[in-house]
Amino acid sequence: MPDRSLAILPGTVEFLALTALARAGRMHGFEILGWVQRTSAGRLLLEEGALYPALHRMEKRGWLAAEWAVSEKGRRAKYYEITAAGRRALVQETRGWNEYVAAVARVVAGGAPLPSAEA
Amino acid sequence: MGRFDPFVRSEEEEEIRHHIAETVDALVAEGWNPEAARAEAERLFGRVAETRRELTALAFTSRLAMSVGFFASDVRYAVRGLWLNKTFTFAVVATLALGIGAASSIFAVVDGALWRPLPFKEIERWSQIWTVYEGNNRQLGLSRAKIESWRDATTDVFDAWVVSQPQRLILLNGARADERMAVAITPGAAGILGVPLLLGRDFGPEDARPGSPTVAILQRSYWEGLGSDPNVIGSMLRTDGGPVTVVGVLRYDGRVPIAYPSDMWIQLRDDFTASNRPVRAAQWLWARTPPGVAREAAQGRLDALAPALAVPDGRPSRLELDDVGSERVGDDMRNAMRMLAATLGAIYLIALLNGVNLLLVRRSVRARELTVRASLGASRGRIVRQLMTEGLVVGSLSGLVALALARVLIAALRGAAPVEFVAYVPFAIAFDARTAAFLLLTSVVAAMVLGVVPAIGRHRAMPAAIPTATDSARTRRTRGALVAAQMGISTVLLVAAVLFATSLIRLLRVDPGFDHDRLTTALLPPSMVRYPTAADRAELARRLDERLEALPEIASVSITAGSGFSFDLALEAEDMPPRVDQPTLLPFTSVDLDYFRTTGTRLVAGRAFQSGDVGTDNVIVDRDLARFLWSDIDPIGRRFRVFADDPWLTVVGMIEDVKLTGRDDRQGPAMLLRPRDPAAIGPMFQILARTEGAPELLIPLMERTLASLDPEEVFYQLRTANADLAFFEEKPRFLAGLMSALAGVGVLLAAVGLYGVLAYAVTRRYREIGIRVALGARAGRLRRCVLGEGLAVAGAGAAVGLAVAFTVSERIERSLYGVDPRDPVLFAATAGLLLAVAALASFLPAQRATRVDPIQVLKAE
Repeated sequence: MPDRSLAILPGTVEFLALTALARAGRMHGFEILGWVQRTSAGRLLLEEGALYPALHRMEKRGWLAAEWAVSEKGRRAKYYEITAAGRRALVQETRGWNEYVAAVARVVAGGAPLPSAEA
Repeated sequence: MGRFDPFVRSEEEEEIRHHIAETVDALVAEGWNPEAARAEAERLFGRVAETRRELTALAFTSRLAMSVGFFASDVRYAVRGLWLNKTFTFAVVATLALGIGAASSIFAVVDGALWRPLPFKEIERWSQIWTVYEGNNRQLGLSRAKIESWRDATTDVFDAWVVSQPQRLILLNGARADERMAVAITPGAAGILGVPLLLGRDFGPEDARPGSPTVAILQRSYWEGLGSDPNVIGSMLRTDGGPVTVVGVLRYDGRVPIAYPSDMWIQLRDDFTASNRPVRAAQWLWARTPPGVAREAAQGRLDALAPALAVPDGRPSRLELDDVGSERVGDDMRNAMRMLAATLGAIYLIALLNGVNLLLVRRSVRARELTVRASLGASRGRIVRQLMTEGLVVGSLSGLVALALARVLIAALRGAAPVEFVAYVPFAIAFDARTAAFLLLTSVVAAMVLGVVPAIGRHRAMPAAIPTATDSARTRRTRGALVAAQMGISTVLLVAAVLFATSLIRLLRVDPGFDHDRLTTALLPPSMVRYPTAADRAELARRLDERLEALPEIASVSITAGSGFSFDLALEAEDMPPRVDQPTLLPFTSVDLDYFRTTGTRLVAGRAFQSGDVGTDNVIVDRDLARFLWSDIDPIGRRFRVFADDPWLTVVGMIEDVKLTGRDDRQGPAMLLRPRDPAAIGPMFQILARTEGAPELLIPLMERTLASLDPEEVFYQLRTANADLAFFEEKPRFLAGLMSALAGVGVLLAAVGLYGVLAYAVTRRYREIGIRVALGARAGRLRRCVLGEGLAVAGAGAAVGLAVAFTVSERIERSLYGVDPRDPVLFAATAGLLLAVAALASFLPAQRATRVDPIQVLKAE
């Protein structure tokens, strides 16, 4: 396992999982973990202990829909899919995240105006 | 996956299994061997794996629960959890067991004195009648005239009466006189009150007739003491009051009056005679209201009667109805018992708060585990139920330990209880069914509280992010408040203990007004067979006096007779306006000419008795009585009387304040001495012997002297004057000892609570402390910080506790001697003591804070 992984900020697990499901479609937990790892070039490692509780929370909140299905390898796995509510939440979270990143960047740059980071 | 149970296939479990299987595949694809890949996958899942094991056990047990009942599995789960945290379990169980055990032991004492219903038929319909004089002086007992007029005028609100009056009977069956306590009681009382007979019959109407032969019903314990003779019915007792025929035996001791243990009942005849003596006044009057008549209605009738009832002895008074047996302890003892009852609650509350506190600490430690479990699907109800089961298990365990503790404590209390308590309270201090029920109830309540309180607020913490290492300020505040509450309650207990202890110390310093360190006293009731007349007894007294005086060890001997206490007083000085307020009792005694020399009592005015005083109404009073009658006027030569129909007495001398009824003589301060007739003496006399050596050495000497004079006679209550005085100090000693022990338990628990909270806070704040140290904080400053927090919590509690103590301490004023219940010095001392304990409890955690190594702490994060 690479050592160059970054610490996951608290509260970003849901955001990352939601993004993964929005971009890559229906996945089970292990695939979400792998997708985030690959997409971040190995820099972001989700913890299982944080991911599953987050998935369950979002399912309860109605952001995700889940169903059991047999995977390509012939194993029974729980697949998650983002719902319409989940997408709305993601838009919200993404905006919040970008504002946060921009604000941090502005602070780092000593308050100088930066190109807008809004997506 | 050794611990994995194939039968458990919850969705969460299956999802985790799937994840691990995928991880293993990925690792194998990277070239790992499957075995190692499996281990690595589990390691990666490490944090959850621990939770999962818990979860597995939980899921397993919950499956089991579905078949054999949730409860059993929850209990097993709780027991397992508690076993894994032995220190925690020990702390909680020790705390609660101490609290419940101590509370139950006090309950065993207080219950019999205050609450336990008396074993009589329809007790709620019975009332006891008190006489209330102006100035709110309440007394038991009424004159015969009052009783008769009251009874005749209230037949509409009372349908039954029981009048009783203790009588001393001297049995003459054996070789030596045997003094026994009898109670003269209205015939039929056993039937009306539902006290069952073991043998024979109850007194009937024929026994009530004037002139009827005296009959007795023996108390069970006395009958057993005589050898449980089944043929006792019909046997005759020879007494100083004539022959008495035994007609019955009670199945258990009938405590009528409640506060007066007796050996037998004899009938009180309609003409107010018992055995062969007239009964001037009866102390105990019980009246029963008919069904449907409230006590208030009966009280109304008595109030309307008040003016008419005042006639017989001319003192304004009213009759007051109260619960039967409300006098089972004296007023001051009752106050003390009520305070003990409050203490019981306080100790229990402290223990409970401490237990809750410890559980809250444990909950914080387990917050992570609980949150993971909740997010993995354990329902809120399930988790709450498990927390409650844990509380229940802890509560039951504490109850069991408390049971053992209470039995030991109760046995100790039974041994330490003052005679006044043991004799007057009709129930023994014992671990009986009621105490057992109390212990069970308090254990169950503790279990419920411990289960519910830590469960409250659980849902708010979940399923939010897994808690970080520091507690929320709110949780810390809650725990601080709990400890402050414990400190506050302990402060109140400590104030009470300090007041009682100070009172005892001051009491022991009081000069009783006679030379108590040099005196030995004894009573002698000579046999009525060998000494039938007053002259015979006087001759025995004279010879005894002579022989004792001849002993080199004895410096002086005095013989007194006719001692006793007058009740229902109407003290009145000839030349002063009549007094409505009266002392409860007036001790009196007839003394010989050696009395002052022997007792060391000092005459402060007038003269001692001379032989010419015999047969006159010349008396000597003590300073208290003189002050009561004449304030500061010189009493010599003035006249007064004790009862309205008594002759006037002339004061020839005044002695200093004598405290014959114990050093605390507020109950009956005054003392009246009369000259003893050397030629005639009543059925009992007292021998006072003075020595220059140790008074206890006189005990065998006096016994031998009496035996040489008449080998059949024995002294009664042969003991030193100090032992006599100590009898009156039993009660304050008992209360001071008990309160100190209870306050000690309370303060100890509170200190442990404070220590626990601070120690925990320091552990939880290692990081913060580490940063402070890294930033250059000095050890002294850290120590002050933790100490300051401890003292702030304790100080807040103590401040509230002192305020509460200040407002309620007046209630125990009557049980105190020479102590202002609001003495600011004592209050300050109590606060100081408590803060010292708090500082001690805070010191160890403070010390630990100074030893935090910042490098290690920050690495660990």
